[in-house]
Amino acid sequence: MIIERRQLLVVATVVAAVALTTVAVARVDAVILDRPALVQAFILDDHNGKPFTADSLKGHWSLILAGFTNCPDVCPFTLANLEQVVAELGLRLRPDRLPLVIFLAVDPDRDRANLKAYVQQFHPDFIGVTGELDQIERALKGLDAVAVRSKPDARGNYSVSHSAAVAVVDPQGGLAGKINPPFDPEPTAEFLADLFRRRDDARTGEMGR
Amino acid sequence: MIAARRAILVIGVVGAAFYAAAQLLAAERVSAENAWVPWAPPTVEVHAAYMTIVNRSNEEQSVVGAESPDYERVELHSSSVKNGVSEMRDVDQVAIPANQRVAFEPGGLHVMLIGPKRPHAVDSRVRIVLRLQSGELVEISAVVRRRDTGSHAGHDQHGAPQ
Repeated sequence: MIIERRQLLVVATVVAAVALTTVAVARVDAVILDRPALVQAFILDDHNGKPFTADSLKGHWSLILAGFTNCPDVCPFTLANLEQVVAELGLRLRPDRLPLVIFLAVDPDRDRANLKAYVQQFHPDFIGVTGELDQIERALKGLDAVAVRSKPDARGNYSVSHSAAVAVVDPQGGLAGKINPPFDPEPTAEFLADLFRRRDDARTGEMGR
Repeated sequence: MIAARRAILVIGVVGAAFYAAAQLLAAERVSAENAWVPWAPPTVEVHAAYMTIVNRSNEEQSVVGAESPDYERVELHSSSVKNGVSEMRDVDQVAIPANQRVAFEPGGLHVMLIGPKRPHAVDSRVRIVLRLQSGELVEISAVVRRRDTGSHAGHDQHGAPQ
């Protein structure tokens, strides 16, 4: 009887361990490049009208998502999740290792006037960037992202389809990879903290050599 | 003459009673729970409403449209990810199977509210009327709330009871 019970306990533990692993893996869907791909040059403006270029990505980690301010569902949901991801990262990393969250607004005619208020409803440190369509296109390409405007309806209304993924850019301005939805805050933060530590440590090691 | 007038009155009263009963019945058969609208800054012209629609009847019910006195226009939309690209499309109708519930939640179905007629503040209410295929109307009062940020709360809690 006692042996049976012990066996049962072992089985339960194994099942629990397998279940936990599956959950953790299932909740972060990411593609990480072996070698970061340098983001090609672009010139955009931030939400205060100051220039924002590929060089502005250097010196800190960045989480970049493409979207538009008339997007009522997916974009705000992702930005709210990223706010929580950064809050979670704050518990795991030094402040200088925390990423900047950048919203690449791909519908400049409608986005320009809205941009600051739109991004800052999620966090005062979030940065909205937009600009000329050809420069937006260059930035998208560098981030391996797309944005396609739908045909306007009879009233002239249109929507913009855009990459669902969030691009992860390293402090050297290289695309490290992408994370896909859902952006569950805790596992996503755990995943990113691990990635940032490994990459930053590897780099510090290289420079010390 | 008086008899005719009385007959009209009776018909009117009976009709009104039937109408009220039908409305009551509709309210019980199909209803919306935990309806909310994420707060957005005043410059944002497009909002979303989320809710759970409950069908307590033994027949399938379909939502075929929506209106709001607080917005210029209301549409039913669905977001989805296809080949890594987020898309939003109009939905003509949303079927709620008999005795089931369908969630309108971030990243999926939502009621898109276009052109706010007045600024919305946190804790204020947005009136939405869903139109069913049967002709019945479902009246909803959605609360304006901030999205969960800066906490450990997951998106699961977006639909938490008000």
